[in-house]
Amino acid sequence: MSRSTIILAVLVAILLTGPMFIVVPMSFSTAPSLEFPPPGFWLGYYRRFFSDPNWTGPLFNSFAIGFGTMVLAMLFGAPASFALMRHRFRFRSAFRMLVLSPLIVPHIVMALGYYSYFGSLGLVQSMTGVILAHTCLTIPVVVLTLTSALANFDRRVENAAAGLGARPLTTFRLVTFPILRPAFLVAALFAFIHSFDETVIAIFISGRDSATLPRQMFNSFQMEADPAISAASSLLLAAVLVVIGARWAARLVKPQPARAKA
Amino acid sequence: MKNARALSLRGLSKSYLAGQNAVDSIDLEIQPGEFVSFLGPSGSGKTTTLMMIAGFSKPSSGEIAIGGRKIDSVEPYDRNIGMVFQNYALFPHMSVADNVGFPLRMRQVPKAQAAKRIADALAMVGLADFSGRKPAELSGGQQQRVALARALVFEPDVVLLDEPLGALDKALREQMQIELKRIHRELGVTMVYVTHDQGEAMAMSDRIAVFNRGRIEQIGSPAEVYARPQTRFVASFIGDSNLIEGVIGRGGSVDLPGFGSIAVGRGDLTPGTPVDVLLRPETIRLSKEERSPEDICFTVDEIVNYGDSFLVIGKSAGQELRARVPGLDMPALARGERCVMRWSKERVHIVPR
Repeated sequence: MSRSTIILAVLVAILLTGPMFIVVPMSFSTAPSLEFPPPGFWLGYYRRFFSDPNWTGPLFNSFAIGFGTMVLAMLFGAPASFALMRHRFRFRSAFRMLVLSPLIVPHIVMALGYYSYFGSLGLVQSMTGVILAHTCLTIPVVVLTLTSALANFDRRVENAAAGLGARPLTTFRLVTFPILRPAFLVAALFAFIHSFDETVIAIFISGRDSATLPRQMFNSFQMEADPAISAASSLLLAAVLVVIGARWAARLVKPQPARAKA
Repeated sequence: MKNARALSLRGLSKSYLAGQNAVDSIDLEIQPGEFVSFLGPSGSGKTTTLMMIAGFSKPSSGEIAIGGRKIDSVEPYDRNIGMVFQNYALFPHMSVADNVGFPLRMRQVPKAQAAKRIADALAMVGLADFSGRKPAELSGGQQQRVALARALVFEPDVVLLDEPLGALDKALREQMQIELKRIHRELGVTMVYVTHDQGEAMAMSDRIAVFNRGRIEQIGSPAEVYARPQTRFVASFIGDSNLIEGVIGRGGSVDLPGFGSIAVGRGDLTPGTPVDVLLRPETIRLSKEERSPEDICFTVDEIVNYGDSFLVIGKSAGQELRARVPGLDMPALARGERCVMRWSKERVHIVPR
């Protein structure tokens, strides 16, 4: 690589990651409004963030909604992944398109759809509504993660288990699932974080009582620019980094396929 | 071993596409305790046949029976067959002992008894000290031994081995062949061994079934398929071979254009029948001394030195021939040189065409 390419790459990296390095120092700032560079440092906004019900409520909601979404998305996404990878059935590619479509459809379009549709079902401004919408949005993430893991999965170990006397469910419990456990963990974490930092749908259908953290940040930013928002942002960023780090760690601990080295 | 069982295949066929049989009406009776190899090129149907015996592939027609019990509609997990896969298919998340103990766990063998059987099985394959390791911490040869112990520990009725030594290097492969043979002798279990390596099949089998295009072309002892192949394919697939076209003459002799007439005592064949004559390279002797007017001239094209022997490729009567000469018997020959070839006439074998 030539020197100019390296310089260009560094510039792009700074441009991409720059906001992170502004928000995190600001969250420790003593300034009463969002201000950079910070005049001094303290932990006051974190203290406010964790004591003000305007923030702790949405934080709890985000965790609850993220958890619910994770469970539901895994319940639907995992069987869908096995079906897509292991069975030939009519409309299989259409089914794949349908499952992955939330990735393509703009979130604002989906949000509008959910808003009017959930409105007639009485699900707007409820946690259930947000969980259902997030589940739909998150299934593609789960399916993409699990199908790629399944594509690399050597089914001969399942044959081996069957030949040794294991029935299909036993084979899944003792062989398939343990081998795929890192992929399941990554898929679940991704599902959680996908819901945790989702904003558009949350703004449309989470009400005051079920407001998520991103929605509360948006509101707060519009109204008063409470500096606690930078603490919230930093925490959100930390959550995402933890998940990415977990995925990276999962790759490190993933059992290597038994290869012949002789 | 108490549970060595017979395995019989009757009219076994498998077709993936209508009208094309990957396996075409195989009939085979394997005796209890026998070691039978399925030998053939890739795509000859040997692995497909093995997969049908294991129950991972459903036969299109025909039946499979073990010890007289039909198993066509029995699920793989109820067949009591041990299988060793080409890539070993060990469970990567389990220790060596847990891998070997898996079939015992499935059979609810009490813990103490299972521990003893696992230890015995690991000792048998020479891995007594490795029970706590994970498969990824073992070499290919060691993984193969674990797979073998796992396939044997539950005293299966039949053990199937799908090219188990394919991924190992030559020295290790030979060592494993000898060890597999020993284990087979000690346990006396019925074994079916799939391979495309004819040397391996020759070295290990009681009988070899030679597969070609979904059919068994010949089944017999290694000596039999080597010395008396019944088809041109078997003659050329097993060992190095020279096939000379000839015609059956009178009184059970065969006429080979350029080589004369040889008495082969095949009065059963009608004179005039075209046949192939198999001449194994090691039955040809080369010499620089002419002895009789019947001597056949041989022109050397190429000499390959294998250390213990030489492969001499040359022409005789317009036909390319390969001769395998033991190193000690090798006359001083050079490329392009002419010499005399002899063969022992009783070693000549007629292959019907």
